[in-house]
Formats: sequence, C-alpha cells, structure tokens
Amino acid sequence: MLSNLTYGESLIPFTIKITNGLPNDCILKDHTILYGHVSDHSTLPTIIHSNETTNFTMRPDPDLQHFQEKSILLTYACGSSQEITLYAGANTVSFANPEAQYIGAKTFYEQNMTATYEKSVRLWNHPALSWTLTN
Amino acid sequence: MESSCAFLDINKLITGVNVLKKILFAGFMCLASNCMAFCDQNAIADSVIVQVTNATGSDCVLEKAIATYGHISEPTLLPDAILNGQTLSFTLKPDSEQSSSTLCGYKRKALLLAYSCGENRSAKFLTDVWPFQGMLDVLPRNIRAEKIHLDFKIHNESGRYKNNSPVTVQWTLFGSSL
Repeated sequence: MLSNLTYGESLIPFTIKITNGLPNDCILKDHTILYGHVSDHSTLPTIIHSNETTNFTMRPDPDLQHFQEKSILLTYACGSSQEITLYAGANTVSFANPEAQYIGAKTFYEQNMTATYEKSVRLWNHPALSWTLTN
Repeated sequence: MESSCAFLDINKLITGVNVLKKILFAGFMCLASNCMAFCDQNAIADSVIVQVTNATGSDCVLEKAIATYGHISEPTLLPDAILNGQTLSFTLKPDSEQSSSTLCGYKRKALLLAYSCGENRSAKFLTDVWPFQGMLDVLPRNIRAEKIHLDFKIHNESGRYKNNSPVTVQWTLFGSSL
C-alpha cells in the first residue's frame, strides 16, 4: 500500500482519475511525488485493470501551503513494451482570485502507447484531472 | 445645527469607507494580475541556468530528465553522463503554450533530474522557478538521495526584477556514506 499522511486535510485537494483504455492491465512501475502528499485515505493505483477507472486525491504539504501545489509523476507499464510517464499537477495561481486554479498535465517517455486528459474544477474550486491510457 | 453636523460627519465617513474600498479593490486587482504595473518586460530574462557538479568520486549516469514546465534549450542539450569532477551547465526555456501564471511574461520552469553514481548511489532533485503572487520563487528540492549529499546555491535571486541575467541554480552532488 502506498498510502499516506492525512494531516492538513482542510487544504485544497486535487483529484486524479486514471482510466485504462488498453486491453492489458497497467502496473505502476515508478512514482515521484514532487509536491504534496496522497490524502483522504486514498492510495496510488498500483494496478489498473483493463477498462477500469481508479482515482486518488492529493493535498498540499503544510510547509508549502501558500503555494497549494500538488504534483506527481507516475510511470505505468502496460503489456509488453508499452510504457508511459504521466505528470499531474495543480495549484492556486492567485488567492485574490480563488477560482484561478492551474492544472498541469504532460506525458513523457511514451513507448507504444499514449494518454489523453481532461481538466476540470469541481465544487469548492477543487481541481481534478482525468487521464485515459490508450494505444 | 447639531443634527446637520452629525449628518455631515456620516457623509464624510461613508466617503472615507468608499475610498478605502477602492484602495482595497485596487490592491486585490494588483495581486490578481501579479502587479503588472511593476513589469518591465525587457528586464526579466525568461530562462533558468541549471548547473550540476559531480563531486561524488564516481561518474554519474542520467536516469531521468523530465521538464514538467518549460524545456531544455536546444544548444545546451543534456548529456547522458557527468564524469567525476565535471560540471554541466544548461538552460531551461519556457514552453510556448502554457496557461499557468506569468509574471511580466515570465513562465514557470521545472526540471526533475535523476542520476545514479556508482554502486547504490543515486539522487533525484527538482529545479523549480515560478512566478507566484507578484514574485519569482526559486524552489530547489531534494526529492530523494541515497548515499549522496545534495547541495545547491541560487545566484541572482535578489534583484532579479532589475537586471536581465537569468536565475542560476547550481547543484553539487557529493559522495556520502549515508
């Protein structure tokens, strides 16, 4: 289990959803948390079965909470010689404008697969990012 | 007479409150727009110089280089290894498309580097420079280091709005028994 600290839960959360649209299961090969922590009793998805959707939540660390930054890199291996690294990040750009949430998404080291994303801002300005892994 | 004076005072008070509201509103707008009034577009170099010195006693092999914001500038491409005693220097440039906050046109740049240096020695560190609430923040972060001590220095951090030389983040990797 790659679970987590649950302190600071009042800070703005960031929900990351991943859908495996491939015929093979995807296995979490590596992950790097750049800012924040996995929270709300959620865990990093270590296996995403074919056609399954899973999600987890991140919150900022209290020592850097003025940035409200939460970001992670996830590397998934899916079947033979298919691999991808996903970047998901979110922060509050300006507290004078709490609706100004920035959501960052990028892919790296794509091998025989790709991924698409959709950004959204949920109730109470909670940023969310949905990834779909595809061929 | 007494009542008209009181009326006048209330009017003054209301006017004063309105002026205060306008000042507060202007202040919030300034924050929201990253204080664009202070911008001199030509005064900020929109690039970051990253230097990495290998003082571990072994050669270091690049395992990962991920620019989550911006990219490594073409003329200074990143080599696959840093020999012992060698210093690398390269430049991070902004992405053309990026909707995150900007300060006077300055865009965020962030690069994660991971090196392995000999047996069981590795280091993963992040160089992150971004405009936030009217300031440029330089955040070097040691993500994970095994048997390597990571040290960093930031050059040109102060006065960065007033001269056009870029922020430089200088990393040194030292060998460590821990």
